[in-house]
Amino acid sequence: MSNQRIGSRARRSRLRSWLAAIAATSAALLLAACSGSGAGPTPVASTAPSSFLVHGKPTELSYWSFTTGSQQAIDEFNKTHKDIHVTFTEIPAGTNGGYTKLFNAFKAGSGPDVFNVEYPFLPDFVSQGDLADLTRYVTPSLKKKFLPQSLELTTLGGHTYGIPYDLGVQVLFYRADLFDKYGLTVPKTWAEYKADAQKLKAADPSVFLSPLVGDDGVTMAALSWQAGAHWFSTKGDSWHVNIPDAPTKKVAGFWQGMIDDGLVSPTPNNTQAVNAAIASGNIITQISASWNAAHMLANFPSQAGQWKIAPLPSWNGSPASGMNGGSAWAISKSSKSVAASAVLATWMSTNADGVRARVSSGQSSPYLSVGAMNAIASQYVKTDYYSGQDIYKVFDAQGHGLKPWTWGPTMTDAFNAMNDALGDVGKGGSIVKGLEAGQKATVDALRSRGVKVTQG
Amino acid sequence: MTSIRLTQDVRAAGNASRARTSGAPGRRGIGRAALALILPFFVLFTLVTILPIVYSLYLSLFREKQNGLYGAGGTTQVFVGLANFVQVLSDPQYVNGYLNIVVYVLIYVPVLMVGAMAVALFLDSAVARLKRTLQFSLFVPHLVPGIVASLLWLYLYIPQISPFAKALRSVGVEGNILTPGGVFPSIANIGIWAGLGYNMVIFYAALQAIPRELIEAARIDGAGGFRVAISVKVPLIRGSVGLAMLFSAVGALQVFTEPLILHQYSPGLVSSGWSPNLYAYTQAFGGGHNYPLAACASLVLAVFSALLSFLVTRFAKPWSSR
Repeated sequence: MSNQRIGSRARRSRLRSWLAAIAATSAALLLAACSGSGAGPTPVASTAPSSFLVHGKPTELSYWSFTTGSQQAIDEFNKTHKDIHVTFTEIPAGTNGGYTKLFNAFKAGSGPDVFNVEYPFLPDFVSQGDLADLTRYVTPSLKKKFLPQSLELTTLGGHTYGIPYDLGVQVLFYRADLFDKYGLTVPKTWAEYKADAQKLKAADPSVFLSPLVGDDGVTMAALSWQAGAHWFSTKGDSWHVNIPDAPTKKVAGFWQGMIDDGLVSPTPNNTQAVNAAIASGNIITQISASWNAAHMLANFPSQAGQWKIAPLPSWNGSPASGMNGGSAWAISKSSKSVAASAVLATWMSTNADGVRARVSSGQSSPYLSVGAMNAIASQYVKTDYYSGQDIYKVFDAQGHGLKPWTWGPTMTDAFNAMNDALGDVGKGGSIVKGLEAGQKATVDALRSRGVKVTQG
Repeated sequence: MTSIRLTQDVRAAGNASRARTSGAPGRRGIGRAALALILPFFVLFTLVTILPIVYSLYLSLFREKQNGLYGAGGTTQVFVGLANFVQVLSDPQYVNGYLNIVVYVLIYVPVLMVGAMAVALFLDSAVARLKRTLQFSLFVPHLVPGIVASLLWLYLYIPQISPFAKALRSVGVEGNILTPGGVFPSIANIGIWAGLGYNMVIFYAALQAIPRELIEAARIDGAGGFRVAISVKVPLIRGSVGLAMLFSAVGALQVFTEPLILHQYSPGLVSSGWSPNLYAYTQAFGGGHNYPLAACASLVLAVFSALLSFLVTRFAKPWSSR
């Protein structure tokens, strides 16, 4: 997830007249949609202004993001909108300090109008009282453009707090050339993955399929999600927290076994050391997500043509996915104009030119939650890197295999506790114990905030 | 640390002006000048130290309660008395942070002091050449911001990308300091690298102030260079050593940047509450959203720092009077 890099090189494709027409149409559609009967509890059709010009001046909005191509998208937006003007500020990737910056800014009352937040951390912002309720803006016609699971992740307790942008469906990146060399078959199940690992170890003990994997809470969450776990659920006004549930224990047991049998590299997950090991060919698969397809080119340029993408192995052999990464646009409760911000957020996710401007660098997260936009994004993905493979076929299969999931309201805290406790994994430590630390931290934090919690 | 240094400077200045002005005719004018000189300090001290402490004390007595599953019903501040202090002091991670500091200080302070003293003595002795260059190159790390220094060293530590590790590997040695046993040395090393030149300059300046005839006398009495250094020079600059030790120890209590950077590299190696400061940071800004708990952790740390300053000053009394 921390791999969500910021790049800012991009060519801009300009089809001015066409683009202006699209912008006008989408604005008209939005307004038409607003005047229809909203899905939300309070349709406010009559209050939606026909223009955001205030005394002849455009409404000024601020937008903070770490997503690649943001500047290009905002340039495009400003060019096509006379009544809203947006200023973009680049921030560090969320877990690398971006969220800290946002939380502090909101605490100080100086947060942006619009920003992007990865799905696990959206509830954190809601619980801090930072986000505007966007339910009224998500009209039925807008709603049906999104992959339903993505809107479910931004809809908490019946209220929508985020407009989804990209998805992080889980896929397996593998070195096709080295798979051939070592006679490995692309694994469809986790059992086959383990068999490959054993075969590889026998062939060359210095080469591994993966780093530790089990020492990282975010990755364990995604893998457990894929296995059908439900860490969080709600019953009435109380949270039910069960991080070490049965599917999660199955996943933890699998990776613990991989470590015990010496089938994974002792390299800690998500570190520069992993990238170094991949670059030197000592780690030959990546348990990652769709967004990584864009980052591979920048991280391992010399390995073009050697990598391919497969569905993540599953437990029963049919495509199944959790989500690792991907983010949505959220709007500050204290925004000068939530309505104008909603126009921006919707435009960034659903407008063809908005998406084109963002993805045209080819370094942007390639799999989007609005299915129609993938037709645009796919034009800019440099599939040469994957020997011309149709990677969207894999993404789509995984997208349809997305399992239901609810994120808890204190995930930054929970992941901190988990990662602290998962530190000795690979050095004799237990994955399940680390997950139990996350359980305890979550329950403690919620109780201290006066929220009802049940466990187990 | 800065505020402590300032306090001492102010106290010293106050003593000096009192001594000089007693009984003098222009006393009131000079007193007003002194007040004008120290007023900016007290204004800043109140704004950035006293007021935040008062605000932290206020914060520490409340807890935020949320209504509803996601707090959509808003949050309320509830008075909880000392419950947050009980929570922070019974959190094993917080308490363990102090144990980490103790181990850290036991490595960091002696190595730093002995190292800085050794270099200062070397520079002070006649044998040293290129004094300026050496002094400058040792002082440069002190000018590098802590966060940059930590990132730099992290790069040198990671076995897969470190040029050191590569060099070692070429002669058949597999080295990795980023292991549970290597955490303390790797953190202390960054601090020592940054602090050595600074302390060396303090010691060197003190050494230069030693009357040369004392050293000549020792030489005439037959003392060699080493003997002069140990028996004459070091005891004569013990005041500076005491002060440097105080600053280093109090600084060590507040260690933050190095563990933060190592934590971001590997949370398992250096936890999010490795030092009391990092604990407070994580609680407030690192995702805990628990400002009251962070306030408690900081206040307890402040009390400890004050206590340690007091003890070290007390203990170092014979050292600081020259």
